[in-house]
Amino acid sequence: MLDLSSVSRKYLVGDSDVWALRDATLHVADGDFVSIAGPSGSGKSTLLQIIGLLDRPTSGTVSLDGQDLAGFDDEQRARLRLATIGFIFQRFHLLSDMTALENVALPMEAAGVQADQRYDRASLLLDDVGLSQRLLFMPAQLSGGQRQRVAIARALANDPRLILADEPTGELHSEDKANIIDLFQRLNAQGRTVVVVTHDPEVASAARRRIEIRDGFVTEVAV
Amino acid sequence: MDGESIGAPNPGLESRTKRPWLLGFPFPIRSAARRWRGMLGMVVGVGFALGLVLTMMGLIGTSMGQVLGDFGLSGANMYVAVNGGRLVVLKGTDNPGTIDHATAVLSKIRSLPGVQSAVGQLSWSMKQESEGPQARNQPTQFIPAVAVDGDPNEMANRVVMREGRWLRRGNEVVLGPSLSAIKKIKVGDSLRMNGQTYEVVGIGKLRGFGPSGDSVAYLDARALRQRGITGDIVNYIAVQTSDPRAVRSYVEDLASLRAVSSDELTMEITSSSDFSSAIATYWLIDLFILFVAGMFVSNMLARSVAERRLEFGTLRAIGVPSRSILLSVAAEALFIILASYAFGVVVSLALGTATNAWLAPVYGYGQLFGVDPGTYLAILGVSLGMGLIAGFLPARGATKVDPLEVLREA
Repeated sequence: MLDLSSVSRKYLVGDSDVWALRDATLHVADGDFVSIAGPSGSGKSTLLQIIGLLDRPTSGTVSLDGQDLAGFDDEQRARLRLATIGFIFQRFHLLSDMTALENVALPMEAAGVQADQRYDRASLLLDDVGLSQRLLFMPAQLSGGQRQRVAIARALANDPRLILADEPTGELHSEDKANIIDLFQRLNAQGRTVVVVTHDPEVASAARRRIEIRDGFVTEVAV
Repeated sequence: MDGESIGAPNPGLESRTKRPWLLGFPFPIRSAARRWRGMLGMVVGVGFALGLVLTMMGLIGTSMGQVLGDFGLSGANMYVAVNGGRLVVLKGTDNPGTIDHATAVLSKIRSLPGVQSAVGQLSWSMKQESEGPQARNQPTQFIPAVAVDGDPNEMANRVVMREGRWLRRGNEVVLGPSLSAIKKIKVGDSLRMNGQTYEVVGIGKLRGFGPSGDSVAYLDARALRQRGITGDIVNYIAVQTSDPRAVRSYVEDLASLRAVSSDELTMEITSSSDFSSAIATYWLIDLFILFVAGMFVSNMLARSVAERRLEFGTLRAIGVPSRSILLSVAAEALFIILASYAFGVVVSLALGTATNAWLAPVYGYGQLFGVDPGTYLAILGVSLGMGLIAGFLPARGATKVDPLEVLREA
């Protein structure tokens, strides 16, 4: 599904170049559950952002279903993200003035789904993540675990093939964490590809493939 | 979280979900509608500015309309003046010109076939004096006066009396309502001017006298001539006739005079450069106010966009097209303008009603403010244009938010 070939990414910090990723090559197949682990500043988030089409590599190629994405402009990348990728962020990033239902329905609205259909599906998704009684709650009225479950429901809104999560349990208590790990495993069991960046061994161990990243170098760890 | 497939149909759930009505609207409208509290200050500020603009236009439109409409209402259908003279004095430098040998000209015009009435008018200035001995170093006060030759009551709708009656004798004066209010002189009072005491017999005005008809003292022209205060002159002659061609024919023979119908006179006023520049000046003032309001809206929207960077970054990250983000800011600008306009209309109607209730009577007008739908629509159009321009830069800024940068900062 997703191929990274000799991908490097450098940032200019002050007057010097800092390499966040060095010559990374990675193949993510349909149905994979991949964890990316590593210490802070190792390049995990950069790798996830390149996989998620939010960032562009300094060198190397990124292709999705065999198509090189180098020539895609920002709008084409946004469309691809909308249709193919579901993002889950460490700090949830729910829109604070919208209800849980509306937050989940928003990506469907952007994709042109009719109002009745999108709110019905948003209700279903929130029910699936255990929030059927919280549809019209504002994010501020929800606990951290509930907010992350809304974020997961939002990530699933357009039925994406690839779920990308950046430290999804970083702000959660242990019980909420277990629920989220369970959700990822269920999603993967249904055939969705899941890539999770984490420094939490518990989350990493739930994945079927483990990637470690250190000083920008990517290595696969045998499970 | 029951272990079933995520996103599988669940028919029972839909019926439990009562969707708020707002969710039926597209995201840009919902987003703008939700932010109404934050926009309230802006709406009030811009609304007041628009209210002032609308009130000013309502006042200008009405007073211009009154000046022009006054000619239409007056029974006079012809005006005779000297060539090159300005019949309606719009500014201080306008010179109405003088018709010499006024008694003879008036007499001739009155004898023409079809003429029902002819009234000569001369703008003059009288020195106001107090009764009894004059104190030394007493400041001199002048009263703008109009010497009237003939009986305007013979002309339909020429005289508008609010109180008392029109002049019958040479020692009587009729005061314009505004002059009466300013000088605090009532019917029955006496007024000493140029060494003669005049009895105030009425408060009223002559129609078709331009914008200053309410603030002058009307006196008998023949009496003034006899006392040597004025010569045998008038500025113009208003004529009510059923045969305008006879008047034109007579005037053409006199070469120095010209005759215009009331329609031609209205046209002459509205097409004059003074009239156009007065209107243009008011529009320029309005546009300046709108420009300042636009800058205010633009700055506030830019601040709002800066505060919503995380929201826009998140939307871009999940793949929401930049068009939707652009529209959400544009909708906010539109919302502000429409709400401000509605508020502005309320402000202008309140100010206009207050002006008509309290100020108009003081100046002797029936009304000073009126609603012209065309002007209100024009201001709405200009305001919408201003809103779009004001919202453009902030909206474009919102689409340029880099999701990567924002999410990294968060």
